[in-house]
Amino acid sequence: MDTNNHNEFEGKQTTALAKRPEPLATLVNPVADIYETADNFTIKLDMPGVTKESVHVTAEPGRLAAKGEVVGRHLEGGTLLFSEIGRKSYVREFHLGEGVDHNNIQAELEDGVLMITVPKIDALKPREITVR
Amino acid sequence: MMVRFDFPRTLESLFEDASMRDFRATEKSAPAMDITEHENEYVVVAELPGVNKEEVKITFENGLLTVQAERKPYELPQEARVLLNEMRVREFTRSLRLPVRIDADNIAAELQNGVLRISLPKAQEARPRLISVK
Repeated sequence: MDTNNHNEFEGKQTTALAKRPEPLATLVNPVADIYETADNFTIKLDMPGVTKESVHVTAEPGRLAAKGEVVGRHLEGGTLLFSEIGRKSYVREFHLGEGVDHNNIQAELEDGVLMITVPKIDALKPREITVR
Repeated sequence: MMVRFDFPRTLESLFEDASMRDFRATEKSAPAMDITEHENEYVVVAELPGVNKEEVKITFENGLLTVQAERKPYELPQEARVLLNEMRVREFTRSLRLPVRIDADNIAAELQNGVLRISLPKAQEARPRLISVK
């Protein structure tokens, strides 16, 4: 994240012979799918390249944030010929309504897809009314 | 600060958003790639989120490397109501030509965390060698 605000052209003389600069971390809003069932909201986010250690999900009343880092280990020790990935920071935030239990949010990572399960509080779940 | 949306939306796809009918629709895309050159190999890294190992096909023919992958739709619970559907790409395809001869028998690939890494060793004659001066 530290390189995000760095301007590579600022105060630097560049020449044709200059070494290709280190790729900067790009800020990416990952694409998301959201669906709702009787008990939960499920959020899926495409975050290819993040590991369990480099992904963070934080929840507080009214707000859910998912962040992840792609450190670009594959860039080490070689000459970069072509780059569309490089180093990245994924960030996406969601507004949480009143009816969710933000203390019991669960997250799992599989094949570069982060899945966050946000349970509803009982008051929001559909209930069957018995006909007397 | 640079903000990049991984899959730029066409006007058409924005219209499609108005209805959620096409939740299972197929959209093709070229996976994002990085290519690095090392002394004895080229490394191609491609993003394939949500793709299983079994759904990736890599071919190498006459110097042309082709990556094809299918992203199977995930299981949506029966009673689920879709609120947002931005994950639209179901097929990834991309081809690229390598600039030097490759030792095709020793190409190796692995898929981890939705990222494919293909190692393409340079053929013996394409590797750097030291010429001794007599």
